[in-house]
Amino acid sequence: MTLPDSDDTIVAISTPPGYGGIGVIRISGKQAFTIANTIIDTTVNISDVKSHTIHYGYVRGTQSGSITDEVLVAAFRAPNSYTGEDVIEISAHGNPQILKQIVSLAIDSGARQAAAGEFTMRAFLSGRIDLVQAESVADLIAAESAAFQQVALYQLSGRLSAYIGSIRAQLLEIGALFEAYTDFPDEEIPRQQKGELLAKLNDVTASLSRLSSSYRRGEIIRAGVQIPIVGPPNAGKSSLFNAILAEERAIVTEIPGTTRDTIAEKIEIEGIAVRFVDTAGLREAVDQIEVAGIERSRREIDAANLLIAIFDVTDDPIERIRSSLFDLMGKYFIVVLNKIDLVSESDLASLDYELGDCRPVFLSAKTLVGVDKLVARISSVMRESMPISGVDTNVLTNKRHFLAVQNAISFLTEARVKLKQGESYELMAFDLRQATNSLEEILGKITNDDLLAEIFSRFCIGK
Amino acid sequence: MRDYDVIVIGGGHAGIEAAAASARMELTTALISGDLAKIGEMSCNPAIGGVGKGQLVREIDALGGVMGYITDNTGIHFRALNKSKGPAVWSSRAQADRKLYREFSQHLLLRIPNLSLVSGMVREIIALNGRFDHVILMDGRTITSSACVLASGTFLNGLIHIGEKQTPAGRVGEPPSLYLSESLQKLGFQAGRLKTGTPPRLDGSTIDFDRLEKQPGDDDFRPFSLLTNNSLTNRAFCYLTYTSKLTQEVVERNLHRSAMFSGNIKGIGPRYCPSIEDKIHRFRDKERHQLFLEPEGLDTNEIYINGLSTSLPEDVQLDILHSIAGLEHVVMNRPGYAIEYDFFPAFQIKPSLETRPVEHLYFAGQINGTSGYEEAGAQGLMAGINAALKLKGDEPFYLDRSQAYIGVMIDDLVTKVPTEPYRMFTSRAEYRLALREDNVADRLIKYGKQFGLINDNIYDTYMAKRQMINAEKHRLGRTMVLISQIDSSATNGDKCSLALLLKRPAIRYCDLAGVDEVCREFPADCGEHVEIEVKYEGYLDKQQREIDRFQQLESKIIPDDFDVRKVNGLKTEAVGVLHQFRPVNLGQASRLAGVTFADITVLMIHLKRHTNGSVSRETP
Ligand SMILES: Nc1nc2c(ncn2[C@@H]2O[C@H](COP(=O)(O)OP(=O)(O)OP(=O)(O)O)[C@@H](O)[C@H]2O)c(=O)[nH]1
Ligand SMILES: [Mg+2]
Repeated sequence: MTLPDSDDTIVAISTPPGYGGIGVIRISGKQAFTIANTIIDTTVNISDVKSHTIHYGYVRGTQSGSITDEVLVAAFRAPNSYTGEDVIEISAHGNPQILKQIVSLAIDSGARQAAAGEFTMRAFLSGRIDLVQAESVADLIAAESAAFQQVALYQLSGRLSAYIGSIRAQLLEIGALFEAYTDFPDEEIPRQQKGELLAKLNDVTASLSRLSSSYRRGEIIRAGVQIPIVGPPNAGKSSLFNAILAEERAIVTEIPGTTRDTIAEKIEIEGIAVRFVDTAGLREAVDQIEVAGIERSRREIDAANLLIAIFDVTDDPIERIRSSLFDLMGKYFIVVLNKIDLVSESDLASLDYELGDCRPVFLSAKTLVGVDKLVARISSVMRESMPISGVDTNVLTNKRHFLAVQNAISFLTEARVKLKQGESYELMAFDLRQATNSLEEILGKITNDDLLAEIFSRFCIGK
Repeated sequence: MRDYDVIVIGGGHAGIEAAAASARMELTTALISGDLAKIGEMSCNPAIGGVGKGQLVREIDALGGVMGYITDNTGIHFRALNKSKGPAVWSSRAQADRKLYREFSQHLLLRIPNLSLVSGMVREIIALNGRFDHVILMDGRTITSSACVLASGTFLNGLIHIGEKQTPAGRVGEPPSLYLSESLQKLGFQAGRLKTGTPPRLDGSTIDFDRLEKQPGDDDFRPFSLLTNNSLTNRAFCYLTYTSKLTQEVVERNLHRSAMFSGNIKGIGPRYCPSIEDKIHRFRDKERHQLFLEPEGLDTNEIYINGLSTSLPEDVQLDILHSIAGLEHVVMNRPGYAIEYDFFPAFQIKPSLETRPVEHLYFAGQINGTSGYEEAGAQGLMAGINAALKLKGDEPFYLDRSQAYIGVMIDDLVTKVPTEPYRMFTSRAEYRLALREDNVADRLIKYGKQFGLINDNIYDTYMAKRQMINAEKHRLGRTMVLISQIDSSATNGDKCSLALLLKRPAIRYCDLAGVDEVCREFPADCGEHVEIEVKYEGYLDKQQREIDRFQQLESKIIPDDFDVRKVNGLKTEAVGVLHQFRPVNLGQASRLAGVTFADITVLMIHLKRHTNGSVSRETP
């Protein structure tokens, strides 16, 4: 992968594809103002306007005298713009045809179609934001829940970077001491100072460990809570899925083995995206499609944060629950007994008595009785067992950051062990350098162009 | 017809290496020195090596330089420092006999074919059309050559400070070369000023050594040079003593009379080798400071007091000395002094040490802002080699930061403007674990051989040894022994390889002799080498991954004709710095202060286009 040129002027539609009230075209680079001036008729000369001003005008058509659209032009001069370069934002009517025409006019006047994430990459290259901040822009756009949006904003503000930066500074300070003692011939670190050093190392490691363990929370915040609905064929998984979404999303029939492929939908509960997954019933598969479907169900179960295990009250539920408990072990799960409309109150009472330990939720996916109780139970499990609060603190949501922090921790652990065992300082200095490097990688202080290309290619065009 | 191929100006440690290398690379060479009898003079302490510096000396030697060999032959006290730490930072140090060192150096130079020693002070360097042409001496003589290495040490516009007294001079008793510095500025070089200090010299017969702690040399010291076959003998002792409460009082009382504190010195002094007034003033809480008494030679009583650099007036120096245990009645032969001198910040040279303004002119040693014989020697060697290579039409010789301390030093020089004399430390080397004294030959001997500075004999001996070590490492990996033979706490019957045993911190190679026949017979120095490589293996692997990453940027060359001022998207500050230092590759660029990773990415994008040949779209 290679990075695109950074010294030409780029253009792209910055609003999502399709029809809308308005559409925005962004132009960034040395020639942004002259290009805008060429393609837009205004009462002022756009090349001369002040930064942060808005102007009314017409985009000229391709034929002389023709007009493409009436627009508003916002001007931002370097370095006070999104990219750090000269930026022009043209707000036109949100017709994709019009927007495309304006882009091609800009291209005819010397701009280049921007690649995915290129505006943000330029913001990074101009030093306006660091890598963590750049990545948070993509997150902010993709955020499906209020919580993730909060975290992305927090990271975009630079506070996570600053926190990591402060840990890095502490590491440099400790490292400098090891370096100094390495270079003082035949000097040993005095016992008392050794104690202080160990305490400092412990502190830093603890900070990093907290950061690293926030990733579990971060993953939930980013990717949502994964809740597959599993159970024997015909238990009513698809029916429950539809009931929760309040939408006829999955096909429901009385034929066991109806659902072949997994279907997922997200809704927001407690400000967090929750991804419900309808799965293929777990049984001895009868054909190849079903084998594949069951395989997918298994994968969903592995990645689950919470399982809904659903059983048909009329289909020997006690025995079936017993035999599946082993599979559920070690996971959060809620047992659901479905189709209560088919049995009597007294049957339910005795089932409740026998299954009291697993606190089953009784409901009917058909009549919707009890579905609200299930949603309430899901909320309470999320509140109690999933660390989803604290979105305004330092939470890792990015796997790249998480792995680097883990790496730093393992080097620091090595250094601590060595310090305790009285090993020689140059080895600890080595570990500290490696740990520091890991943190610098997160911030994009040291990295390589492949990594950058990969990070920015995950963006959409126009951002 | 030119008088010589190469002229080397200055007979200090840089000049000696440069002249020896260029002459041995078969170019006619003249070493010009103000006083031929002073060639090889140790202007400061007659000690070679030390932490980070011992590595440099061995590197010089593996490349075919002479410093290690001279030291082996003139040393009187040899010691490996930092033995309590790991092998990567073991550093050799020797105390030489000052007079022997000088004489041995001169004899060695006289025996090199193609090399002439010329007495004279250079007054001016003349360039024609940006190319070195000739030098003019003080007496009016002109000497022409195709290339010139300028290695003139402290002689450039030196000003000595002793208390309130100031004397223009190079070293004490020698005239400064005022003119040369002026001549360089006329050629367009930008000068800066640095300061360094020296301690007083003492009359050893007036020191009460019996009361001081003796520091003997090591019996098993490994000679610096691959050329040295015999083991070395320690013929003198160093001694330890400390400053006292009284010392502190004397210094504090007279602080205002120090050249440094009264603001007489404009240059900036070395942080790591601070003057005693500096140390006492800065570390008030520290009750005493360690001092080393080091002999200057066998047939002299003169003693160098390491750790007591000062620019206080003579009478105060004497009071200070008398406040120190063992020195209560000492006679001072010569006072310590501070000297400030011109240097030429090294953004004016390329990593080959050739200057940018004047082709075929090379700068080596103190002129580039370094302090220390070892730093000077290493640059002298590199300058000599590169001057010769260029005249032969060959590519310049570079070492990068992962290959040698020499590479670290030169890279530091060409990417930073020093605010204090540059001195080597192991912490300057990020790949320190790979840059050890024990593996210098592995790293560098091939270059020495390639340039004809290492003869076939030495090379073959090295290769044989290397093969022996490899074979032994291999054997240790396959030879299984009962662990209980060496570790009584082990479970009966458990076996493991000798290599695995050797990885344990507490087990040394010589300990294996107890359980293995072959280890008993194996030469001790090779055994140590095997041990280091086995013990460090895990680290070296990790370090190698770092080095591979480092080399990705190092391998991205910035061509000479690449003009950073034409790169859009770079920050103004970065353009300024890049234009001034003109880094030769992206790695070097990334180490410049003021250049961020974002700037490097921008450069990377442009370089790709530049090398792809489509440079056409530049703005006029
Ligand atoms: N009476 C009653 N019938 C239900 C209820 N929930 C589901 N059903 C019926 O049970 C049958 C199976 O329902 P599905 O939702 O397709 O069951 P499933 O678990 O998805 O089945 P597979 O996809 O085949 O594994 C359908 O005929 C549903 O109408 C319920 O609460 N009450
Ligand atoms: Mg289904």
